[in-house]
This record gives sequence, structure tokens and C-alpha cells, in this order.
Amino acid sequence: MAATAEALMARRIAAFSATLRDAGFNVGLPESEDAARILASALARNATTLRPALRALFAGRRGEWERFDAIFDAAFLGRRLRQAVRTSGTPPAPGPRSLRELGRGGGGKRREEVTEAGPPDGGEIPGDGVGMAGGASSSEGSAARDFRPLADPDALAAAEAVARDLAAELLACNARRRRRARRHGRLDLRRTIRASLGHGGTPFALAWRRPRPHPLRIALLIDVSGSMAPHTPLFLRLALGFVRSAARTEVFLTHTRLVAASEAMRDRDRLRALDRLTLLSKGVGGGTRLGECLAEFNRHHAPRALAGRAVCLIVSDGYETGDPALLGREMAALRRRCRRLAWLNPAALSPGYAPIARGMQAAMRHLRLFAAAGTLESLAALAEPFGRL
Amino acid sequence: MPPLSREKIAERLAATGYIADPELATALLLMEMLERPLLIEGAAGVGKTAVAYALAALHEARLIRLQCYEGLDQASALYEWNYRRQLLAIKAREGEGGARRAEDIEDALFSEHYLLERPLLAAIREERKPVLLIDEIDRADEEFEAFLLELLSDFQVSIPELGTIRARSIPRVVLTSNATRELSDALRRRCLYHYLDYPEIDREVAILRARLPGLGIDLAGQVARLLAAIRKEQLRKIPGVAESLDWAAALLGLGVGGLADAPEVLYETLVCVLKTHEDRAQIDRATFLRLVAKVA
Repeated sequence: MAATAEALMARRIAAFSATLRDAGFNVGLPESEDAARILASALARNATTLRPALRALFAGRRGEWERFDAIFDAAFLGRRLRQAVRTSGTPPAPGPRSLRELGRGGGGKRREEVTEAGPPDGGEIPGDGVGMAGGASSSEGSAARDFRPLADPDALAAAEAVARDLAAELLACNARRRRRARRHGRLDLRRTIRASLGHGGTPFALAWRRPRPHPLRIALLIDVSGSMAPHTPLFLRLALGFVRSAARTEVFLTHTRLVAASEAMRDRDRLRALDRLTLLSKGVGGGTRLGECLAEFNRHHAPRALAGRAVCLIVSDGYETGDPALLGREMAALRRRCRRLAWLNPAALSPGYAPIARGMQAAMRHLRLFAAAGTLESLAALAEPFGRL
Repeated sequence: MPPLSREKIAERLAATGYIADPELATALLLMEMLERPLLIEGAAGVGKTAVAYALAALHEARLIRLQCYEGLDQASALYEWNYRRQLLAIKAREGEGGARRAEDIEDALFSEHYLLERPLLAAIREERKPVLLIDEIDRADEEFEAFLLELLSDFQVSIPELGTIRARSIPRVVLTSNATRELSDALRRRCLYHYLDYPEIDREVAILRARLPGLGIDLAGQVARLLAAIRKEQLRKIPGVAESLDWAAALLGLGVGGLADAPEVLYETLVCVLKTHEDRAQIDRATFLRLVAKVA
């Protein structure tokens, strides 16, 4: 009898661990063993004591800590999983599934169709139109945008190559302070003398220092509003490339709201990453409220995304429908946190462009780098100014 | 000794002056049960370090604190030989005439007598389970984190001249982090995790009353509600529990009986709570009076 109860418990823990792993938790065997001990103890008598106990064990960071309750309730109390699913970021069934099947080679013909549907670089995404005719609009584009044309493999590869080069410029950055080295580099006089104490003052063991690589964090804020629509696919591909080549990259999409997209982009399955972007994109193609988005970024995301040495890239045409004064204030706040502030403006590519849009004017004096970028070539040319950032 | 129940733990923590929420009490209970370290994250000033102090008081154990900083290395975290004393000893023996064998001198020089214990070694050599507080682990380098991980899983240290030192008792380890750097997954997995948030109003009242026995319940309630309101404003540096304790102590010292009595004095004492120029500008006199009127 006891044996069956134990087996049942073991199965239950295994199932729960698997659920957590699916939700992105880092759960190993030692955790499952400890979970068994918790379930065997008095803590398991009711959910109010069991939940915090298992949470302390399984969660490893704040996000997991906050998501845990919903998953626990679903697994142990049989509540509906709706919230757990939403927060764990699993894409819903119909669209993604068919697309993933596509990606795994569910027929070459259908795959080609997708490729054909994808526009060339800088091409327009079909089915768009909000805000294109009447300039900037502050309405929220309500339909979810389909980013699947993004999946054009050639364009993706090209953008990733450019992103890799640009990221390499930003990552090849040394800290002022040097770190210890086994050998080679410069002599570390202080530590050599300190170590010589053990040999009566004769420096037998030499200590070395070498420059400490200190890659910059990268935060990308991409304006995906209606006026930016022709350039959105390119910049999203670029963002995918950045996320892949620099681990500490955070990507945010801005339109009328700010959307954190790094989690979705980091998905190992590229097609699924695009599906998740599609889900996040509700509202893409509407107007630009960059000031409000920046305010939200400054308040909620910047402390983490721009911690330490960081570079913040804003991609926008600067056609702001919100209050330019707010934009100016938030840019000032952003510059206080991050000196390496760059703005890539696709509109600036057109001949005779001058940054006279009100939003652009408000932001201009806070920037360290203002560059025109809207094609792969113009992006590739940014490597040199990026190196100076 | 069987582990205490979590209510007992919360009760005893309260007796030491630390008001814990039930979840923290559970985490502390698990620490005891599973012998895992506890990683506490949270904003500055919410009482992460205080958990370790309270835990030490609860178990009447010694608290050993290791403050992490960039460049922290084994010599200042684990052990080091006391070279000056060794040199002195050599010099002193030169005068005695060299009749002794080299091994004897070596043994004498590399004995416990000349070993400088740093916090980590001290923690594992302690006879009674100590509380080891590794404060602000996110400031230490990644290499040190890896080294720490090794120590936390084996609880033994090998010193070439002395041999391997095994832990006499497994210390209770509390790590705190301000999340200025992402910690490694390996470390997170090894530890239990607790996220310490700003306390809700009831708990903040209890904390204020526990730390400042002279504080009336009315004033404590008002201070806690006002702090909760201030935390909702868009501030750059959100005041933590440490700030509210400072402020309540200041009010107590100035003889303020209730917030409504002396809003002007109150406004001037905001120096205890708002720590940046922008925040000061954000909560101007009018905003502050509105907040006071709401809670008083």
C-alpha cells in the first residue's frame, strides 16, 4: 500500500517537474528528490504551505517566482491552466503548429509559397495600411500583424550577418580595470609584491594583469508603428541577429505601447520565435507614442536592460504623435542612465532629409549617434561609428 | 532536533525583531530540512541582510559575514598565511642556532598558528552550525561565483600545506543579491530562492512596532500607509523598509504624535525617505500634503 502511494507521489513529482521544465524552469534531479522530501513532510498537508515550499525550491529568479503559483495551481489543484499557459509563452495551437510543420519540411512546395510571400528587403508587408495614408496616427492597430514573411531564409541570414558584425563592434569593449591573468599581459606590481611576502620579499611568483573584456549590454527599441512598416521586417531580422550574437541583448517593440520581445526572439526555434512575435504584435502598425513607451521603458525595464555599461539603440522615424515635451524628458532620463545613446532613422535615408519632426527635434540633443539606416548596406556601414560608441 | 514548524519560526523571528511573511518562514524551514543555501533577491533596503542577522539570533549561532566586491579572491574570502608572523618567526629562530631540522621548521611555520582564517574557512571550521551571510553576491566576479559553488556543494577546502579541511558542521548559508548582474543558473539551482518584496501595510506596521517600541500604533499605521502611497509614485529610488524605519525614528525623536498634526515638520523630514534630487522634486509640497491628507 505504502509502495503504491510512494510510486504515485514519484510519478506526480516527475510530471510536475516536466511541466516546470516546459515552462522554462531550470529543474534537475536533485530538485525532484528534495521535492519528494517536501511532499513527505508536514508541509504537504495543505496547499497554502506546500505552494511556498515548492516555490522556494523550484523558482530561481523573480519571473519564475511570480509564474510559479499559476503552474502549481494547475498541477495540484486542477485549476484551469489559462494563465499558466499565457505566462509561460507557449504559442497557441492552430497557426504556429501548421507553420512549424512547414518549417520541418512538410512539403517543399508549401515552403516556397511562404518564401515567395515574403517581400524583398524593405518591401511592404501585405495587409498593412494603418497610418500609411494619413501620416502618423495615434490609434492602436488592433489586428495582430503577421510577421511570417520575416522568415525568408536568405534575408534572415543576410541581416544576421550584419547584426553579427555590428554586435562584434559593440562587444569588443574592454573595461578600464584589468583582471588577473595566468601569464602574459602586464605585470601586476601590487599583487607581485603582496605575493613576495611569502618568499621573504623576493618576487619569485610574478602576477599578471590583462584587459578585462566587458561586453556592452545592448537594448534595442524598435518602432513598429505604421509609418515604419516598410522597414519593420528588416529591423526585426536585425534584432533576431543581435539576440543570437550578443547574449545580453534586450529587444523592445514600440508603437502605442511598449512590448518586451526578447523572450520571444530568444526562442531556439526561429519559426516559433516569429510566431510568438506575431502574438506579441497586437497593435503593430498603429501610431507612435514613443514618449510614453520610453517612459515605461525607463521605469520598468531600463534598470535591468541598461545595468552597467550599455548601449541603447532606438530605431524610429521620429514621427511622434504623443507629446514631444514628454519625449524630450524621457530621452534626458534615458541619457542619464546610458550615455551610449544611438538613434537609427530610416527616414533620414531620403535625400534632403532634415530632422525637423517634432519628436526627432526633442530627442536630437540627447543622442551620441544619429544615423540613417534602412537598408542592409546602410546598416553595414554603421560598423565604424558603432566601434566609436 | 526536529525542525521547527514554520509558525514557530515566524514567532521566534518576531521575537528577535524580524517580522517575516509566511513564505519566508517556509523558505527558512526548508533551508533547515534540505540543508540548501537560501538566495534572497529584492530591492535595496527591504531587509535581505537582516534575514541572516535574525536567523543567527534565532539559532543563537555565530554570524559570519562575507561582503562581496569586484575582485574578491580566495585570499580574502577563504584563507591566507600570515607572512609577517612567519618571517618574524624565522628571524627569531636564526638567533637560536640552526640545530633544528628543516621539516620541523616547516611544520611549525605552516601550522594553524600562522593561518589567517577568512570568512569562508571560519564558517566551515565552526563547531556549532554558524550562519554564513554572503552579501551582494552579484558584485563578485563570475570566477568567484564558480568557486563558491564548489565550496557550497562539498563543504570542504584543501590547503596544500595542511591538507583537506572538512566542515565540522554544515553552515546555514544565506546569499543576497541586488540583481545588478545575472547570477549563473548553476548557483540559482543550488539554492532555495526567495524574492523579498516591499512589505504590505500590516507587516510594515508590525516591523515598525517591533523595531521602535515607543512608536504608537496610530502613527505606525499612518507612516506605513504613507510609505505605501509614496512607493506608488513614480520615483527613481523607491524607499525601502530601512527608510521607513529611519523616518519613523525621526518622527519619534521630534515628538510628532500624528501625521495630521505637523505636516510642515513632516515635509522637512522627508530627507529620510527620498534620496535623489528628482524624487524630491517629484514629491513637492502639494503632492505630499495630498498624500498625507489621504492617509491621516
